[in-house]
Amino acid sequence: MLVQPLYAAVPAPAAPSSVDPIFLVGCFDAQRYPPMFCPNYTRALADISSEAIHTSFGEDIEVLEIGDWFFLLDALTQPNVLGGVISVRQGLYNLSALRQRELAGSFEDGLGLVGIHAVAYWPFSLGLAERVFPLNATKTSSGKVHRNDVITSRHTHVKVGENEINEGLPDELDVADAEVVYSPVPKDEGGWMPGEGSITVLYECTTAIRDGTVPSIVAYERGSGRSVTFAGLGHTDAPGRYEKDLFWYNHSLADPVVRELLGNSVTYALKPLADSLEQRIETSEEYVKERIGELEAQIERGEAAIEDRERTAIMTTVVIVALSALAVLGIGYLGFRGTDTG
Amino acid sequence: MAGSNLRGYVAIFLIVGVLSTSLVAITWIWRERGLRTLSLSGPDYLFKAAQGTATISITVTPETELDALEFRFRCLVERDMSELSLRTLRASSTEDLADAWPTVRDRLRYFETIGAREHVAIHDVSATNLEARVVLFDFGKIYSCLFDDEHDNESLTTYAFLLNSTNHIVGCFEGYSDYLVARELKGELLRRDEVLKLVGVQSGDIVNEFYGREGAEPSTQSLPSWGHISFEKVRVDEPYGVTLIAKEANMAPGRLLLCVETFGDGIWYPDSSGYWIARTELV
Repeated sequence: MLVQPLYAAVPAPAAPSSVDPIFLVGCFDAQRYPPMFCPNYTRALADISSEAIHTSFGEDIEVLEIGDWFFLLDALTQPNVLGGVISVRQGLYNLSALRQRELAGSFEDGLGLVGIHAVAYWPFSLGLAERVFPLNATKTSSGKVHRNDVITSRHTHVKVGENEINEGLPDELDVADAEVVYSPVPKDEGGWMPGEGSITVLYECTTAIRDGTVPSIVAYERGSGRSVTFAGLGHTDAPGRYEKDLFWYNHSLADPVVRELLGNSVTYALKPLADSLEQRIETSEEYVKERIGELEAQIERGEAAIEDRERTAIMTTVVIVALSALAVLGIGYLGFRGTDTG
Repeated sequence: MAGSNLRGYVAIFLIVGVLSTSLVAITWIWRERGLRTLSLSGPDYLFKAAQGTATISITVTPETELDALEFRFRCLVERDMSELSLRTLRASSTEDLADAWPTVRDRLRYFETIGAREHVAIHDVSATNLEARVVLFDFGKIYSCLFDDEHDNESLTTYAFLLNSTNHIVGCFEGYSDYLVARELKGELLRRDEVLKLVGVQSGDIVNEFYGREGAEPSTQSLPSWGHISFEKVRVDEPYGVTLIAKEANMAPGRLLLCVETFGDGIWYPDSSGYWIARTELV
């Protein structure tokens, strides 16, 4: 025997609220399909992003964690989304052409993105590795593995260029880094460079290949979009791994320099967008109104039809009651007139 | 004297007649008009030859004129609750449930940021073929408004909780705005063209048929996207319906939640909606 539903009424705001600007964070392990959400890594990155955004731009921009890969890709194309952190470990499937086209288009129209690891790995992200996270990586390099109390691996990165992201930070980073992705085009041949846009290499990894370096953190501008790509910071929340080593997911994120780099990257990527926030919100409101306007109109029509039916029913009921009362009075008058006086 | 009495009796008889006729007329006027369900059936098992052909079928007829009649199909696959990091296993309100599953909470929050939260369909219903409650969080309609048809069925759009009589969560489902999906033995998700043999769409006397992968044209791939079958300017007392016939196949053992919800002019008709928990097992 079922109990009565406790909540037949659905709580919802009485009227549509205004559109809010948001920044999305989602980290996934793409060894599985669909890519598996990494909640611990996402939470850690969301905290870093929130702190950076609220410090630099105030409380207006909300940071949301997104736990579904396709929903993240969907949401990043919406106009109220200013940007996001996308981290993918081990991209073992091919991103569809539709998704590449949409994300690259949204980026050029004005998204601030921070990409980690396989988002720059060409076999996974294809066009995005050229147009959004421009490392065009086709090779991977595991870090040097240390098997002491914890299982980890490390890569060393040296500062190359300097901008607001790495200003004042150490010239050399030695961070827990499971894997770095890179392009095999040799540096002395100019390395791989995107055809369009402006790229700044901030750090190079000295331990990815023998006798050479590869770009490991790059800042990029194309159209109205800005991105910062981290070739390393491979991570996993995979079942089993977390149980064996409680801190596995955030070895690299526990490093204060890495945290500062990530926070600065978020600020850098969002900076031009934050200046035009008001206009962006207006555009978003128009977009949402246009998209869900027909749905709202349909519901309004349905509710109006029900109200109309109720009004007609009330009128008809009044008429029936009035006529019945008249009939009863008439019948009573004619039927009982003079009965008692006989 | 006798004539007066007779007149009185006749008057009483007539008054009773007038009052009862009025009462019947008023009751008829105030009856709930909308949709009459002609058939609503779904399976307990799917993809299992021994159980015969598995069909999901709904047919309704409007009792009043409607601009739009829509059947929304959803198919959800059960998730292992131990993988979901649920924050509670007992819920006393819809908010509790939404908070229990972070993915649902994130989705709700996201749609709130674009002012579309009120269009998330949250329906608390009894399962049609099981003594349990289903609480459905359906983002499919908003998805279909915000995203182009090219996105059809790549993103999860619908989540559901199965609750027992003490409000404990006994099952969690996630799924798509699609007619039918299922996971095969290796876990790969099979879509409508691989699991549906035939789909019949009835509009009045006309029935259009759509065929699965091996069948003739038109194929099930050409069915309307997002699992939404709509009729415009529907006529009173004409039948409108959809029948899905599933294929037999080897699927991963588990449970699916099959839903068909009926909307007239955007208003949900719970009595013309079905929610079936179907087991999938090896043929």
